[in-house]
Amino acid sequence: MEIVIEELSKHYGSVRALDGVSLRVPGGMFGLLGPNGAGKTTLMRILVTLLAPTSGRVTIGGIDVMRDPAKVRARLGYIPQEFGFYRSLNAYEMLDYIGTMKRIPPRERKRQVEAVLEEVNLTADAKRRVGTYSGGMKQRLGIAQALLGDPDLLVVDEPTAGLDPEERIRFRNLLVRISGRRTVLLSTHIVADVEASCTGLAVLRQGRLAFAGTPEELVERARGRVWLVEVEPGEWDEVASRVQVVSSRTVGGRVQLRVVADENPLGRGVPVEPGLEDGYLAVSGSAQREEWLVHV
Amino acid sequence: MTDLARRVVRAWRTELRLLCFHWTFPVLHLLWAALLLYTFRAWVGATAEAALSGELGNLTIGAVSLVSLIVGAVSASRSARTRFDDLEQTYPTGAEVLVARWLATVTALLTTLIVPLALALRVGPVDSFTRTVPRYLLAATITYAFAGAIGWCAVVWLGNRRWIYPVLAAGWVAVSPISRIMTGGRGISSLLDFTRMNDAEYQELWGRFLAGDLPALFNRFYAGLALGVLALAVLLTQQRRTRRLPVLAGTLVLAGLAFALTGGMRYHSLLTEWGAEAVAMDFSGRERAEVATDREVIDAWAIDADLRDLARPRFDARLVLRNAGSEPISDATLTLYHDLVVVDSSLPVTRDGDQLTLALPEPLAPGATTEVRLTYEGAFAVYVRYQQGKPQLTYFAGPGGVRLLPAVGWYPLAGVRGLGDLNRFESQAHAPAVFRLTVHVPAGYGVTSNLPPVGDGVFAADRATWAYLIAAPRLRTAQVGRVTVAAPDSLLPRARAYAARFDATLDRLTPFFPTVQIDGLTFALLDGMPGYVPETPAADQQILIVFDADQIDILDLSLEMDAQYFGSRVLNSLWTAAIGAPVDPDAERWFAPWTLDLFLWAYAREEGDPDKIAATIDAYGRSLPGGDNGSKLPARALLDIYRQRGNAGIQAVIDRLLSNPASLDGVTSDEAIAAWYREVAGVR
Ligand SMILES: Nc1ncnc2c1ncn2[C@@H]1O[C@H](COP(=O)(O)OP(=O)(O)OP(=O)(O)O)[C@@H](O)[C@H]1O
Ligand SMILES: [Mg+2]
Repeated sequence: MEIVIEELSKHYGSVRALDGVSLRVPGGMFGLLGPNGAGKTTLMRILVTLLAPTSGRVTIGGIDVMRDPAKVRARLGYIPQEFGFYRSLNAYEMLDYIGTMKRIPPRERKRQVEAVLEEVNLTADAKRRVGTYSGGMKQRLGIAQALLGDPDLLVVDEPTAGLDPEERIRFRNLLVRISGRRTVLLSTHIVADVEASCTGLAVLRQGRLAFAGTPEELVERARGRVWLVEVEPGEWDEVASRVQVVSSRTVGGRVQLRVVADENPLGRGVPVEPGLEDGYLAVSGSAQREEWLVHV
Repeated sequence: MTDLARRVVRAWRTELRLLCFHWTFPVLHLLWAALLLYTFRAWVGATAEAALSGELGNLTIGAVSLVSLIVGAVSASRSARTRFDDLEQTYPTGAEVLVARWLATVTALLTTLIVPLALALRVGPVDSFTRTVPRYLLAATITYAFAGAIGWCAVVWLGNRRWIYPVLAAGWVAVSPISRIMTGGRGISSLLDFTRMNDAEYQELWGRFLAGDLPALFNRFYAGLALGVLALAVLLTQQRRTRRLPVLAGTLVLAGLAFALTGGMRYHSLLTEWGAEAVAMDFSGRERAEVATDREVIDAWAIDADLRDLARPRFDARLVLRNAGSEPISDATLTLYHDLVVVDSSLPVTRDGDQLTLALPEPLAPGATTEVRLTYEGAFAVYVRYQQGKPQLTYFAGPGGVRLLPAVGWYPLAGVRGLGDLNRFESQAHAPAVFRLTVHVPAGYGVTSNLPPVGDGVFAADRATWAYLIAAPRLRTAQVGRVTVAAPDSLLPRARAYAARFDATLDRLTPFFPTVQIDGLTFALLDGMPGYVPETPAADQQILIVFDADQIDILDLSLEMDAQYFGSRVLNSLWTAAIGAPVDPDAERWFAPWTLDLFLWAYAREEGDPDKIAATIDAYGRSLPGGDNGSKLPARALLDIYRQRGNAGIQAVIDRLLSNPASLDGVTSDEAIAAWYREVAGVR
């Protein structure tokens, strides 16, 4: 299912949560990256029919989301950033209820509910009240409900936030497996998740599209701009205020920084091979870079 | 099951479960049951129908309507509160989920009716219960559905806000008690009170017939509003979810509102119509109506009432008219209710409102009589406004039955009488006359009158001073010994039991009044207020006791302990008949010392057993405020007399009272009365 987004804007008063975003998601697993407040959730809520945009157009598999929301819902699985369930039902009942709402025929429903419970590793706890679940278990139940009905499009808004590493990897692999046949749109802050799974990605920054392409292309954005530089602790603040610091570690009393910058920082940086995180910072943090250039 | 039906059932079931399995649900039910059992521990109603149509029904529907508002809002906000809303709004569902959940709130609330229904069933009888349950359930369902829809719509419209709950509760308080206080429950405000707490249009004999179409229109108003409000909630959600104007929901909003509005307008216009016609009933003033009867008097009535076609009741009256004046008369004036149209008569008739003027073919000499025949017909309805309430159908002849009392002039009366003044029904009594009333009613209708029954549908008396005629589908009559019982069907078995006691009492007491010719007693359980004349003898040979059917349970108390009540009804009639009391209601009445009545009551009740009579008299004394002992002395004196001389001793006292009432003048203290009894009976 191809998603085509054209000149999409969403304004909350003077806040431009989305500002003229155009994007094509061809299918497969697609990552949506961006800092807090970039507009990822807003974009996803528009895709899943929860929110009406201020202007612009979205089609999913040729269906106009604004005109035919019902058709979109019939093919959709969605995991919101925040959600809950009826606390007094158990996981099985909750999923069975949702299965009915998703119009899954009764016999098929029982099979699917059991299958998704198995997929998210909740079979053992299926008869427990959802109210007694831990945050991660609830998150997994959220994943399970999205998988019900075998949707063509899965929209996943920061799903791995509450998961332990093991479950996180499990879930990531699950998404990859699913995405073979359909479209998975995954928003996250965690670049490693995207790196490990996505075939395409986009970066939003302040409601605008900062990048769209493959992970490799994003990496290329940082080529020649990633440096390792050793600084005195006293110089740290000055450097950090001028360039994007990707990571840092202390080496024998001095601090070794990995930075993204157009020019060799302090004149003593060593160029290194870029990674996806560098690329992400290069596109999402470009404002600071420009500032630094002006100052030097 | 179709896909849609499956979703409806599933959403309904799940919501119902979430409501009913919440801990507050059993707790509320326990509190509710405790409240009801406490409130109605002593008195629920005369019958199941009275209970569910009266306070029990009103309280249960009214109080739970508040809960419905809240529960509607609780259900509507559940998904938002549990943060499930973002998930479920992306599911391919439509309005069916909202509707099913709203249905679940109504279903859950209907369980609050279990206790009131059980209470009503305990009152019985079963047929009264089964007759009223559908109406009660319908009323409750409509009210809960409406209130629930309001709660739903409020949340859908305004979002999940905490302040919605106090606002809903405040609205409920404002609508019910305040509207009643401000308007006295008058007029259209009775329609706005969706809690129905103001609703009491029920009488045991007539059911809700007297309220006409008002209850049905009330139901229609709220059924329409419930539909409209629910459709509005659907419309708001659909518009948000489908981003287009939901035509079907919009149509349903309009249809519901139109249905409600037309019903409400009809309700209003009915009330206005009745209000315009209604006669104000004011019980404070009881002056006599002006009656000009010095010329003509009616000596005999023979009325054939053909009610088989109640759309057109027809009366055929034969009167013996006498010139009571001193001059010959060439015309006679009669009074007949203006809606009764004279269709045939033996003499030419001219009419002016309630007045009929008959042209006599030749002058009628003083003291001479002539027979007149009048045929009149017509269905009519007289509305009366009691205090401040809604006008109520009070006197009528038409589909549903007849309730005809002298006040409304349903048979021709001599002279000019103020029929418009229904307050003065007592003055409608006429000089004693022969009266024969033959009634034909549709199958299934019962018929009763104050006149002694002499045959099937035939009532007759030689000295009748007034006559009423009641025919109703629920009316049943039975003969128990010398007692004629007339009661609503549901109360007949109980009325018969009371009648048996009246009959036994009559048997025991009439021998003490050898000059009195009492053939029987009519014990009529009718309904309050329409102006029966219990103090006027129905006919000289028949005692009439009319009791309000809605308060039959008071009879239990009366018969158990209150000698005054029993004495004042049976004994007063006996005394009055023995003395030959005047018909004039304003004339001074004469009563025996009440201790004599007390003794006679105890005597009748205990079948003449002196030890039991003593115990009853003592028990009665103790039941009086302050544990009265004074009554004991004279009553004990009578007991002594009875023990020593038997019935003859008591008879001597009664005979002396009747032959020489003046001998009691100035004898007031208990000691003096006791001494007087002993002296008269020759007992020390
Ligand atoms: N209902 C709303 N009213 C007003 N402003 C809103 C609303 N929802 C979102 N915004 C604003 O829109 C912008 C984009 O928000 P959005 O939630 O889409 O960001 P995000 O990329 O999902 O961020 P995060 O990574 O923190 O989840 C933010 O500035 C936010 O404050
Ligand atoms: Mg977000």
